[in-house]
Amino acid sequence: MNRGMYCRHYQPLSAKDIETIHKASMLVLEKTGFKIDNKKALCLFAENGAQVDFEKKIVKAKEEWIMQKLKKAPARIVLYGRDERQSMVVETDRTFAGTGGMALNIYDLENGERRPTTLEDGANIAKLVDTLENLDWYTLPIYPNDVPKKDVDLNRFYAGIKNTSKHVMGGIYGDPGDLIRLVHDISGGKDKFREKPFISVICSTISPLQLESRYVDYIFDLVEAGIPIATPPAPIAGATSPVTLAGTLVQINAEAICGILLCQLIKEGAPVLYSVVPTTADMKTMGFLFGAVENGIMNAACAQLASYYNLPMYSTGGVTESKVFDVQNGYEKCLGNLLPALAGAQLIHNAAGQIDSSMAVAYEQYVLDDEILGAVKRVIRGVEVTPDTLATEVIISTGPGGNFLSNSHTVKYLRSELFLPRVAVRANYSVWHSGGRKNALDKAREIVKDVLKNHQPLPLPEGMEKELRQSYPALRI
Amino acid sequence: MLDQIFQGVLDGETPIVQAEIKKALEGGISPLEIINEGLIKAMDEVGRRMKNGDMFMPEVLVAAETMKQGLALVKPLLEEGSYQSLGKVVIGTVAGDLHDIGKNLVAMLLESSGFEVIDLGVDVSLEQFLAAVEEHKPQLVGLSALLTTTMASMRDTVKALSEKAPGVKTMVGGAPVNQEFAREIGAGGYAPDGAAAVELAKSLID
Repeated sequence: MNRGMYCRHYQPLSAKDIETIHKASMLVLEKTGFKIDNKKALCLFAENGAQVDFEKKIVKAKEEWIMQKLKKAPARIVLYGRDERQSMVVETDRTFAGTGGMALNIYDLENGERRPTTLEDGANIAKLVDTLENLDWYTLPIYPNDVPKKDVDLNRFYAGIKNTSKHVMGGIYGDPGDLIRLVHDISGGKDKFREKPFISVICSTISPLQLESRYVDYIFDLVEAGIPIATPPAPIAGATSPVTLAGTLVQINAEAICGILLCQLIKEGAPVLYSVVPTTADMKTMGFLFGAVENGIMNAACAQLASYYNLPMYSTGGVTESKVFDVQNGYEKCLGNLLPALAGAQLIHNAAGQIDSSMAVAYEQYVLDDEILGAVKRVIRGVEVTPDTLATEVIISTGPGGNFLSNSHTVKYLRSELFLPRVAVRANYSVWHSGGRKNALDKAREIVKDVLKNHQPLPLPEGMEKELRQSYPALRI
Repeated sequence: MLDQIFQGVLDGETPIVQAEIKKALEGGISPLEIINEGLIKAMDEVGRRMKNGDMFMPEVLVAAETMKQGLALVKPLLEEGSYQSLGKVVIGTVAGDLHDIGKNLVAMLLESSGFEVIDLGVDVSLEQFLAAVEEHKPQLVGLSALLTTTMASMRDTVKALSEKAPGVKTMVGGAPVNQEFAREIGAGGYAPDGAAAVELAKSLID
């Protein structure tokens, strides 16, 4: 079991700020409420005591009622991997990093050209992520352009499940019926799946303050099937939420709570995540920004809010607006991952692989971002102070003018104490020059090629693939 | 037993290596075989792992020290002339420079690779290098410098050595030193790190 890393170093909100934002969100839910374009859900809210306007499709509720329902949501969720060692215990102040996105394009590994993504890319990226040790789970990152729309969900998930034993999360484009049957079949039945859910599903809500009819129907089915759910709103500060960070936090907090309320009314105790994708608008063009530094601050603040409610959380990390592997790419991704991680944001999705505001992914980017995440996780670990790490005796016995190179204390700690990057260039100039002048990107590309050629993910139980292909003729791999 | 010696060196476990050497000797394995099939073979493997990035410098040094301790146990038992070092190397940090960590590292790696090393320490004057060459008759002299200001001492020393002891080869290293500088001052070779220094020493002596 992966317990994540404990952290709450960066706290952009004071305790008073958190309380103030909470009260403001409650006021919004009481005065304006949220719109649910779905009769079944409206009835459910009405039956349970919320104020429902069926004509306007608006649900309003008071703080006391909301907090009472919110308390039914589990404070801790275990997201299982096919390999149980990869399972994540998601709870307050525990950080994990994973992939994300819905990219339609990919930078080709061979020629670097931007081209439409295929199902094979989905399978390959899963295989790659399976080997990247700083990525704790796999959120399906691409839309396969070569698959008919009706078969996309089934194929996208199956390509992921087959090629990584880490937990698989993903959005859906249509009715989840087949997907639910597929994962129940893989687990050996509904109950077995419910015990150890190895996938989770993202059903986005729409900012400001709306839940879409179709997705609400899907949420009913998913909750019933025992699938953990994320319901992320993605407000764009200055466009679909206030331009001030505090204002966007008030709104996104209210929106995140709506998703949790719906799931708890469908089934008390249903596994659901306090989910947020706070973003920013470019004031010059009103374009959407995924790599703005404010997004990192807001994700960190949301981590504090999730802790305040004691809820497991889904947050958003390092994306870049850059179109290439350049300096901007590096610093936006580093900040975007570091800020939420320092605040103990829990499932930081979008932490790797994406480029161009999440419109595209690149194989090399996964390896580069894994390295950034390795450094970020090292930062989170901080300084371990124990009698042994203080090394007082070692300093005394080495004395002035000695060295610590071959000291057993050095050997004991060198691998755990110092982050060892895989792609950063650390050689001196002449070694670098004679070694072919490779930069981090070149080295990342070599790693990708090696993984795609040689890595064998944990296979599904023997015979299962064949059976699944017979039961689900839509499966293409 | 040779396998345990081999593994013990890789793990840097001196007591295990020493115990296994004693066992091997009692079991009738020759000292030379212990050296070649256990200790040296292990250091060759260490070199390979270091090159692949599977072993880090401090681990290499601990393995080297273990190898040295093992060697000390077997060497006195060798028949005269049956074991020959790869060559004799005089090494030192040049005049005006007190930095020695890089030089020490190279010395340890050379020693554990089978060279006989005479370490003159730091702030070694031109005259001291010449005297050591006279006394020890090495095939190779290694010069180290960390400060850009002491690169001039390195130049002078290399020049003096090539004039006074033309049969002795020189190799240079240190943070400010590079291939171009080595060529410019007429040094026999340049190595950017410890592992490269061992390879360079082997190739210069061949």
